Amino acid sequence: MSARTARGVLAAVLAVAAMLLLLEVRGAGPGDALRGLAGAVAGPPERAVAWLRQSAADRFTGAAEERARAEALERELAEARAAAGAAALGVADERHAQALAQALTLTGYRPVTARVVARTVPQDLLGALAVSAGSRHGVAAGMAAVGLSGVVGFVDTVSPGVSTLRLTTDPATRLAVRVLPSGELGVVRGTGSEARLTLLDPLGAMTVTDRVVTVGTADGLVPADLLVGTVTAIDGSAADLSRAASVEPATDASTLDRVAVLVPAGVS
Amino acid sequence: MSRPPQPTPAQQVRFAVGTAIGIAVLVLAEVTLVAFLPTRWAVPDLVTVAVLAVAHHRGPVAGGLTGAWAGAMLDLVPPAGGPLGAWMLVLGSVAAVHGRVVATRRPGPLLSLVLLALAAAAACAAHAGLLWFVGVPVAAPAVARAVLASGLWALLLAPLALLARPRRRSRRRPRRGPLHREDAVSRSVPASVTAGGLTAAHASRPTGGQR
Repeated sequence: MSARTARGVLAAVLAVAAMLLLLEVRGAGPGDALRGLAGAVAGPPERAVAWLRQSAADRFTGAAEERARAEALERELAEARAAAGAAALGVADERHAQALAQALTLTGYRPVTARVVARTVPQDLLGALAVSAGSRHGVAAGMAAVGLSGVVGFVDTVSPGVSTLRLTTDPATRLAVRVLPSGELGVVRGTGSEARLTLLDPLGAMTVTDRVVTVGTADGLVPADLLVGTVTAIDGSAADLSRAASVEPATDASTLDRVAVLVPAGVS
Repeated sequence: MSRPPQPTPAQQVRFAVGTAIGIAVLVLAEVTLVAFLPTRWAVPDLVTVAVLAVAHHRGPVAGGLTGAWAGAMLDLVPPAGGPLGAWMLVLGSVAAVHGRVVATRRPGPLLSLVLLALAAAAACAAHAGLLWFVGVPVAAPAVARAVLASGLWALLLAPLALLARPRRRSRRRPRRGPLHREDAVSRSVPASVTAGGLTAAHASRPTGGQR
């Protein structure tokens, strides 16, 4: 291959990249299909490396027995909560816990526990995790994933054995929420490093330490009243139309080891 | 002056396959191991540094193609979540430009480290800019932190990526070809000042005390 041909190949490859990017922006790209395929190929080695990493960490720290006991306790906890109709973890408060339990009993969600097998590097600016549960476990795009403290993120792409979760801090995340105790509705957007909350009513009540919970989706993929995070700072006053708040996510994804994907009843 | 032999097609294929496999392993290692390091704001970006090292040693075309392959992997392998093609375009372009700059300027060791760090930071900034361009709202403080972290980590890793090369060069004859550096210096400078010729010329030159 001559130097001129090689330069032509490079130009063609970069042109293909630009075309893929434009197609993706227009929503017509083959992104989901290609990522599903890549997940099917890269999923098994990722799971294997995650297992090796965890085994090495357990051996190094001598924490294997404690971890096994913790896993057993987590399973028991999840089963108990599922049985009680409170499979969604991170309930905002007692008042909503009752409503949540009732709602989940009516609708029904099955928590599918999964291990975090991969994550994006911080320089990527996109908060995402890969977890060891996929389409063969009943996981589908749009479902919510929770940790012990609340929402971790939402399923973005799915392959047979691995799914990608988009975290609440991901810049592409848009999440309808309710602020407690005022009940104001708002939207949480990720910025890459934190989550920002904007109320639909600019004059709505919002204070630091308010809790932010999900509103739920009409298709039932995301249940209502899952804890998303806590308001830590508010920029602007109530009269300021651009008022926004910083929300500290309920779950610190940087230290997360396991998640539970909430699979609606009826999905096998 | 005899020109160094062109690499055979088999050598080119071997280099391409080896690089592709190496980059794939690095991408998997980055998302499954390196990303779990307990450094909160930044971790070593092995893939970017490796791509830039290929561009440094092998020239703009090989660097650009390696960058495009690495970017495609980063765009596709879970937990990839950004717009498809973004990393592919960024790493391919930045590596090609980096390879071109190195091939034409022929920087010394210290400047090479700085150039590689700047290129890594530029790749991070270009990716953030591309995200912003396609409508993904990334916050400026997060971008600044990521760009700074990328540059600093690349500066730390650059010696490992760059200084390993001269030992290999001393064993092999310099090669030319589309997947190797287009040696601008060898076209304009006599062979007596290039790697092997420099030593030979100096050894045979009479010094003042030998007159």
